[in-house]
Amino acid sequence: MHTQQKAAWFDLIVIGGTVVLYLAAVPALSWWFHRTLAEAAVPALGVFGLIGLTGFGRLFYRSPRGALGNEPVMDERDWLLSRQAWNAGMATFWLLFCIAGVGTWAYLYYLRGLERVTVPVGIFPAMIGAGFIVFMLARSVATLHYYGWKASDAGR
Amino acid sequence: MPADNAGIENTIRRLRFEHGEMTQQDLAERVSVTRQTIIALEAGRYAPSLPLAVRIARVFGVGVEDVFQID
Repeated sequence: MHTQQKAAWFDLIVIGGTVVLYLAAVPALSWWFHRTLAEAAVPALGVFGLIGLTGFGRLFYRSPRGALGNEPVMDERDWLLSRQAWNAGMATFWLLFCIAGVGTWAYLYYLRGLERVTVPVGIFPAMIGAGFIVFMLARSVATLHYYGWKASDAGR
Repeated sequence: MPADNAGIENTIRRLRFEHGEMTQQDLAERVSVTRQTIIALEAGRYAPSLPLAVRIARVFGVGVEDVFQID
């Protein structure tokens, strides 16, 4: 399996695992602290700090210890595919970020009317955080789409 | 696949076998790319940069146009 495939799968596993943990944490916190599921849903968002583990994906880009020969970890084709996967991630992020930005305002306008519409300041960092996850997700899926999802697809 | 071959065909597989059945791994190491890129090149799914095309041609001791041809 190519380095890029390993890193993409690692990101998907971390993101998927975090979402599963969040879905488990909401009822657990609700039960433990005697709160409703809606009340527990916000503090349970702390689980998403685990997304930071994706930073360890860089470890896949080291040359194997004791490796012989002159084969690089990344070459020109990998950089090209990496850039295209990055573009796919950014395009997805920006599309959803703009929709969320306008959508939040439109939703609050609908609820409160023009004169009383104010977007809570907490929405913005939440959008950035969610946007980062969307970016990572889209980039990983694009990478696996370009390289193939299986080890045997790496050179296709 | 976004990195298409831009209509370029090549004779890398034949040249490898004519040069002592050189493996894809050997060729990859000699031109400093990954083995997956050699596989993609031979399958006609990737058009190399000019420096890479020249390096591959030098390995086989032939001209670039003896390795790569445009349809």
